[in-house]
Amino acid sequence: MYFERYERPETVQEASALLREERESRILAGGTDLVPRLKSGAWKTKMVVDLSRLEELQGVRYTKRGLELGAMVRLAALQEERSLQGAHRLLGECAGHVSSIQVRNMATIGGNSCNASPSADTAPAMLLFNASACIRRGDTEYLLPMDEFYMGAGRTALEQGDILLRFVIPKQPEHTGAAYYKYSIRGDSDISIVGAGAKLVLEEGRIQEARLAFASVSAKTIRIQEAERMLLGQEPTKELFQEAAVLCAGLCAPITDQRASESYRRKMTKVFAEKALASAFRRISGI
Amino acid sequence: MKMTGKDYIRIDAYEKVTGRAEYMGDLVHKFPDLLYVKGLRSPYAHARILRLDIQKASRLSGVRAVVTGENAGVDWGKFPQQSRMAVTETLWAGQTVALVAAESLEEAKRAIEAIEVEYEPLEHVLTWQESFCERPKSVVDPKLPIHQPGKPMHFPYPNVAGEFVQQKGEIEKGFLEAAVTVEGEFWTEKRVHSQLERAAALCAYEKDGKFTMWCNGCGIHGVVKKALAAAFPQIPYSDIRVISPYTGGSFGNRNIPYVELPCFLMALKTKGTVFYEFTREEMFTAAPTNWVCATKIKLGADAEGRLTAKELRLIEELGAAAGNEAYTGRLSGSSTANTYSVPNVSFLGCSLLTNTVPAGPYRGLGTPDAIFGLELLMNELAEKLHMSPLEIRLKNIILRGEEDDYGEEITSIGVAQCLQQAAEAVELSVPCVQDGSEWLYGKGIACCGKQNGPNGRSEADVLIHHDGSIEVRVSCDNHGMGVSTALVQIAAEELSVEPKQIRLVIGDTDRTPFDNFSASSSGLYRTGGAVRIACRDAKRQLQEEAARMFGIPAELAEIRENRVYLRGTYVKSVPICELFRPLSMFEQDVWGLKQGTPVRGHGVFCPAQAVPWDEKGRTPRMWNWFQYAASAVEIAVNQKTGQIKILKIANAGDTGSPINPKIVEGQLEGAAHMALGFTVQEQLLYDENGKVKNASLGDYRLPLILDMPVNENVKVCICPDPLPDGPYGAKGMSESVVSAVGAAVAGALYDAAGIKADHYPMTAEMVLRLLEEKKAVHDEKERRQT
Amino acid sequence: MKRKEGKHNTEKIRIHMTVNGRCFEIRTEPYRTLLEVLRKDLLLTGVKCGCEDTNCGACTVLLNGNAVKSCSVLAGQADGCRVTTIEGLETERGLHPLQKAFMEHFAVQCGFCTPAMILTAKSLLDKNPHPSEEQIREGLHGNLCRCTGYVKIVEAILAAASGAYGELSERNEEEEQEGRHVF
Repeated sequence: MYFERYERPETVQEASALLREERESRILAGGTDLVPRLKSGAWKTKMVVDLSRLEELQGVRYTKRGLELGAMVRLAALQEERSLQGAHRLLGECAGHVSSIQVRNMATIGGNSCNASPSADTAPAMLLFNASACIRRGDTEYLLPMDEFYMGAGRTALEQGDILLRFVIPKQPEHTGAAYYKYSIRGDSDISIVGAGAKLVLEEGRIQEARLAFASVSAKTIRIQEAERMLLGQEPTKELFQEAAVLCAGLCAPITDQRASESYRRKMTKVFAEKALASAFRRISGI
Repeated sequence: MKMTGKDYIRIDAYEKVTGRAEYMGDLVHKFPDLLYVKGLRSPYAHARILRLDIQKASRLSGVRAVVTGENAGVDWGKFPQQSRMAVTETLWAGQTVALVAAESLEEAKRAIEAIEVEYEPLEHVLTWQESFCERPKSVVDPKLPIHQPGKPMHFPYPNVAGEFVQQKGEIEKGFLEAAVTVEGEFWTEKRVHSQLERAAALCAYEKDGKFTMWCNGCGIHGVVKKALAAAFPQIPYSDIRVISPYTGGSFGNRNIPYVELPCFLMALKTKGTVFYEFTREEMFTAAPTNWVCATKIKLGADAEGRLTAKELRLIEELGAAAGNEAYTGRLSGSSTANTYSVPNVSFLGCSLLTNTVPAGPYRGLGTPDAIFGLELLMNELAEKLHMSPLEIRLKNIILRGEEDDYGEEITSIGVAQCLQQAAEAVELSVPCVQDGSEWLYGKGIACCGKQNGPNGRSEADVLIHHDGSIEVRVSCDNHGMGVSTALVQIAAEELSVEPKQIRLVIGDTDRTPFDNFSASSSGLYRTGGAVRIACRDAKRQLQEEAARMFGIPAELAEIRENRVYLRGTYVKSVPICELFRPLSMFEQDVWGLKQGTPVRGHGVFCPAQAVPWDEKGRTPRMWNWFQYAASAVEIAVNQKTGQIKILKIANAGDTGSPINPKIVEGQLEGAAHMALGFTVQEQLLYDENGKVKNASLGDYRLPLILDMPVNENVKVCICPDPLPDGPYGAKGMSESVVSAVGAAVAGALYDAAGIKADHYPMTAEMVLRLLEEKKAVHDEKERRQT
Repeated sequence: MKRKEGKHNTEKIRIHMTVNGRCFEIRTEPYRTLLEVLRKDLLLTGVKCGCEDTNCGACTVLLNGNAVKSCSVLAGQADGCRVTTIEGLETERGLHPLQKAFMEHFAVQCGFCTPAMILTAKSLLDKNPHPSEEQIREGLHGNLCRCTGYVKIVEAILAAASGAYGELSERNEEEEQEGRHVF
């Protein structure tokens, strides 16, 4: 592994300036993914900018906009976070599915998104909750829906010099249930074969909002909107969930790799989409 | 004083829990001018090297040597297959094409990147299915001597490397006598040992022209030093010193000095001190794997369930083990020949080459692979005869004193007890309750035996100093199994002292006496035997000394608890230290024991050699002794995902009399865990170029803690049948105990879901496919009925 | 003296860490990992390296009390932190209860994973002094062991948590020692 500079700026302005000054630079959040990539030579860079001292990127708080989740919140902390409300608790659960405790003690929620790994365990929850990324570009901050944030395997909408500050996650309606299943062979230390997330909002016995988001079955974390639409206005039943799961299996775009074959991933998408929907439904409070 | 059969705390435990134990990588900082070795590896399973240019790399800063297959100036035939460099052609993806030694690892890596190679990819074969035919896409070793004219072959295929035939009774008659017959074809896949410490060697070219090598390879005398001397005949044997620090596991992997020889070569080229450590990826692509066994088996049994005939064809797929005539299918086949008594046997084994990394020994030496099908067919026989899997096995096992298929006597066999205890531990006779969930539950059992080869010789020195302190010097392998502690217990028992009084000196060819290697679970048995003899030799010398001092016959002096007890004289006992005279001008005397020069007992233990077998493969001595095991499991299989979860495992081992039962338990537990990995998830996968595509501990599914049942559901049973020639009845035990788990799980899968696995690992994808096939057949039947 | 790595014009960085209770000021190349600094500069070779890519867990150390895989932590990230390695567990008062329990329960075989296993267990017990077996399993799945099958490791941790090998709580605070060591 080789690079020339390691910087640990104290302010966002300073970080931003460093990143603009050296185009061949990489942001370090927790480092659990970046460092192995730099070591293996898969990535090369001249400068590593460690954001761990940026206070602005820390913290978990509720504001008018909803849950504001600092990009540098460590996954282990998020997993233990008590202030998460209602369906948002799924974020903590998903954080807990990322690898082992040693990794979660370093890895951050921002890093897990910026990697844009198709298997990122926290990414489906971001899509389920219609989260946005608050990004600093130059001297301005803007919000980008997470749907548009993930662009492909290892690709995000971030440009060189951009800093992901925090996630803004809207408050969820009262009768919301959300669930995520990570299917892997060896538990959380493994990368998933499929990660299936579902969110349901119920009103008067009918599905008012539905979201389905999947990891590891496409080049990026995806939603299957056809299936979401199909659920709308329906009464939640086992058969309905099965039907939606079949749609998901048909519409996802998995590949064959060392972890699973394409056809197996499709089958598992069906199995775990159904489980996620059923679990999301069970979690809706007051039913 | 009884020191064996006790749970004495491991002698290495303190150093290991405090981080003081030094392994290979921990030595590096002691050598300030160390050079680092790195290999350039072929990305193709089979390719012609059209151009190899090392000019640019050689000129880079810090680079001290760049060696190619061509310019190395060695006879590659003398190198272990895994470390042979490609000269004109690469035979597997991962084969070394060039070696660099540089002043830092970074510089070595940069030099590797600067080497220019042009390959012409050639056709390759990766599996036994592709290779075992008349016209394979690739002929791995066109020079196989076995195909010389006039040598009739059972399998005249170009990639078959060797054959072994073994017959007993009349096979046709055996099947005529059978009331039921069963048959099937089975196979396994490639897996890697994955010991946690990567292979490494450090070689210092000393100022006086001597070479000192530290390495984590097995057999410092009998494997490493011997191989170095053979490959570098210009170096006198006395100029090579091999030292083994603490080593982080082997499981057979480090029985081949694939990193030591290239390391030595680079020390020779640079006249420096060099360090060569494999990366984890290289442990998957360039270090030996297991060999795959493919079996085709037919069994016959009479109406009572007694086996009448066994016909077995076995292929050992060895990877690109070019020029290897030692493998013939005999090694793996041995595990099918030592457990059940069958009057009529026909065995035909062969070894087969492919374009994958050359295979090597792996815990069990093919037993887990070879017996898989045999054990499953035993279940089928039982089913056809309405017997239980336990009953049919108990009915057919060889009894102590009876012969195995080769005609040799079995002197110790505790497999019946293993079977009974394992069955009891999982309540095998009580069927699983199905709870109507997506999980199906089932139980299974299997057993096996693994031979111990009669090869090798162990020596031990026992030094008793004038202050009563004791040194035991041995060179056996010490990869974590616990043999070092057991040896100390043996010496303590022999000398009637506390173990803490004994210091074990282990693993330095300049200081510790000869030992071949501890392969074949022989460390405790063979080196333990040598330690006993050495202790007795030392004791005899003390007895003789006491006899001289007190004027009594030596047999009237007894050595125990640091004293000599005397009969036939007025003195009852004296401390041993009084037998040693000080070296001073008025006291030294001309004979007798002197302070500062210890009594030195020497022991040699060497099992009787094998007797060459006849044309039917029959001999009164093929192997030495056998270790047995039985494993029983309770599993859950998910109907939707195909995933198997092991809910309960009982691992029973016929270990001989255990010297340290807790250490033996640890072997049984570790073996269960490792075997679960073999059975349901571990497998090497290859890309289109024949390169391993899951070459990391992230993608290669080594079992984790979560894959093991919770503690109360892991049952271990020690079922000793004492080995007459083992130290205190002990024998080796750690190979059989990984070998029956695969068939036990497959049996449980059939019990749970009614599906039959013909190979393993029984991955979730494979099991789901079997479930779907079963459902399709069922649906088709229903459709026809309506 | 460490030889220079090639011909780079890298500015060294300066790191302050408290390792096993001793303060260190270390000047190092920016691209080195915590693992390298601990092993090569401070000679704390109880920290092992089994894979280099965060999968085996043998390089686990405690960073401000939290278990981390030091092969993927840059040395710079540890600036200002408290680091505990296996070498820091044994004090004048003797072995840590976990070390004793690992010895007496035969939780050690080849020993290569042992230091990391003990440290991971320590961070677990420091946060949850009486874990269930399930919690231990959940806490340890980032640590590979190829020898033991984990049975005796779990047993040892449960035994240490029960207090059988001495009080765990009084061992949590490391005394900072006087003086500063410059590398």
